Amino acid sequence: MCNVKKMVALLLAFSMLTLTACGSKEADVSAVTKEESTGDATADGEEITGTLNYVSWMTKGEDIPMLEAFMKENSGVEVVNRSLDGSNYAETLAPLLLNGDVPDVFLVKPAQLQEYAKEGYIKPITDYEGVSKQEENSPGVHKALCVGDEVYGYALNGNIGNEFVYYNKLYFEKNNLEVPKTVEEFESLCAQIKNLGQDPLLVPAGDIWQAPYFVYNYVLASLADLGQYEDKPMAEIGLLKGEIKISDVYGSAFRKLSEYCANDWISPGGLSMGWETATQYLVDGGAAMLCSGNWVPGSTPIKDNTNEEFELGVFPLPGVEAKNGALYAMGEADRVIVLSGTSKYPEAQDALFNYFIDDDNLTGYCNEQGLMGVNVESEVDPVMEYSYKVLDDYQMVTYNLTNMPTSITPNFYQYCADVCSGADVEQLLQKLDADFEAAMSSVDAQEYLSAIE
Amino acid sequence: MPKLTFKSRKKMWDIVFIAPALILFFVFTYYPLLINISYSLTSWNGLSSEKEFVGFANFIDIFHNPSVIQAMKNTLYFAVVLLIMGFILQMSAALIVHTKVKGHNFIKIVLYLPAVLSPIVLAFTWIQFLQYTGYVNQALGAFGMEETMQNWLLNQDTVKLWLCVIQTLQFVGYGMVFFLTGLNTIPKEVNESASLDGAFGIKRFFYITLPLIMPSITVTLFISITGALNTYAIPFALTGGGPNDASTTMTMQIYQRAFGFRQFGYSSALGLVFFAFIAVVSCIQLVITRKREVEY
Repeated sequence: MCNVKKMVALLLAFSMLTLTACGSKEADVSAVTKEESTGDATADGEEITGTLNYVSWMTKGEDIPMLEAFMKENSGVEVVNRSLDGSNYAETLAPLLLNGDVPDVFLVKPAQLQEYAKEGYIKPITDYEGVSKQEENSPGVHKALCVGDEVYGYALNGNIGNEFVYYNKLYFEKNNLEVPKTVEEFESLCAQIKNLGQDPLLVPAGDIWQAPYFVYNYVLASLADLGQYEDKPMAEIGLLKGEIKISDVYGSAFRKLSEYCANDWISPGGLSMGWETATQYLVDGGAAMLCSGNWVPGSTPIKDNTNEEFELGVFPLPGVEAKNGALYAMGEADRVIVLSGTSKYPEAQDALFNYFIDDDNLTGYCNEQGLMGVNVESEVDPVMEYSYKVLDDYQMVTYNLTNMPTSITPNFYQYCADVCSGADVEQLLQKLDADFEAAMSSVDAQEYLSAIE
Repeated sequence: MPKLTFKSRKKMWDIVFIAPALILFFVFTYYPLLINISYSLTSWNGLSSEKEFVGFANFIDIFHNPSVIQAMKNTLYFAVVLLIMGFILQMSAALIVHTKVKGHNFIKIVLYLPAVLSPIVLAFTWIQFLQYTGYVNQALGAFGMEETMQNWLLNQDTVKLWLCVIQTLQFVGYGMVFFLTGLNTIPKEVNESASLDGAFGIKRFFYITLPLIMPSITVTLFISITGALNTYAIPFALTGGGPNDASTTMTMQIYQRAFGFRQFGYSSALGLVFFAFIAVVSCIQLVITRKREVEY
């Protein structure tokens, strides 16, 4: 009996040791077995099968209808949808990439694309049928999504002039308030509203990525003054060479934000709200204006509005004149779809990618979410027409410093929110410079410079 | 071949049983730690295949970096305040429940429940109270105190205290259970003798109860100190470390250096230094509290 016990104990101990030693190998084996059992797509037109990981920052399930429609059409493919926090998307995506768990299909911002392509996490899609449309439709966007001669991403949608100001038309009419066309008129409007006893502007910094929206125009003007929009991106070259500081790019924006806060033109209520809550707050009359993106007209608070004293109006935040007299607005890709270079199911991966970029599918995707198409003609909400018309006179530029490492300003959003909560601007700008230096210490600036020059 | 003695055979079997656990422990705890040491001596960015050796440069920079120093100050603030507030509330709750007051089982459940909630869920619940249009400001407005209304989590002066309150309230029940275990181990006779000798109330608490539950205090303090020093989820969800880094903790700083700034080497060095700090603090605490444990 005693010997039997010993034998059992020895067997158990041996099993544990074996499991410990072979754990990872076993996982690999099981994955391969699954692949073999499900079988990948074959060239002779058999059904495509496989399990794909899809990652995006669509935490409200925006992409689910598209993925479900794809799975319905391709019953052999299962797409596992995973949404990461949009405020820290690059940071939360990094561990996945590092662990070799690169999603088969995922969305990135243009600034992320360069780095991922250089490190080999994503594969070129230059030869994919349909990708050539991007070069014809939007050469600027296409160029931003290329590394060398290869294109790595396809823009699902884009943003033109991220800075829209939403307001209650009825409130404006009642108080004889005019839609402003210049910065001076806008500031005068804020002062008028404040005198009426109302909080002028909502900055929904609860969604921290929206904290800087209100001052992007100042960033664009600074970048223009620093030569970013010349033949070569001189601002980026200056930053990489250490000739200019990152605070030179953001300083005017931070100071302007601080000025608005000091004048009590920014509603303290909005600072802890996300954009959707802030939209509801606007509808309820909590403040007179809301600065946010072009998705507000399609949001639930607007669609379900029952307040008869509210009618949505929009105007673009007036542009800030650069030294050359030009007005700049953002025109850049937003959701860029990319493909992992190491997918176990490349045919299923291609099928999902092609499904996304199909003109009909993409048009429906953009229209349902009120997005502006880059490669397709999407519907424009009538309320936005005036704003887009105004923006026609602006010079469209890419705001993202796409030739720089993504990690240069990880705290930028937070610092903008900090300005709104009364932090010292000069101190924050010093921190921004220190952050920039820290981030640049782990990359080869010369490599980035060579790529630009 | 000499026959093994009973002692030797027992030793051999001990090794057979312990080895798998030790191997697992080594693979998943010490191996990453050792790898971390090697990373800490490089300027690796976490994505590149190249890891440039920089010696002790990362370690030297840590002590000169204002962001790290600020995070360390915040972490120490959290540790001290959480420890004091937590100890008082947890001990008070344990003493109340120990008296078998009516509904003590219900009180136990109510106090323990937040401990099993996700800190993220708890954080989002607290936002409803602390945002500008939240319940705290609504209450202040109702009492005519509009001038004191503010964004409580955007105030550099109050944010840390609010975070301590939230975290303390979450773990009142958790610490209470440890203290309650200690209180239940005190023999009735000891309390009866103390009563006969005229020791009541605070006197009895400090001279009889506290020394006798010192083993529970040792464990609770150990868990509280390491937990407080590793504070992450609640500040991350509620403030993201702001405003102006007022609530950034060391663990947040380690995460941000690695995944935000892409300074994996630096972050590894930071992690090691912080690990050493926690180890030293915990050892000091164990030595102090163990000395005060009494046997009866």
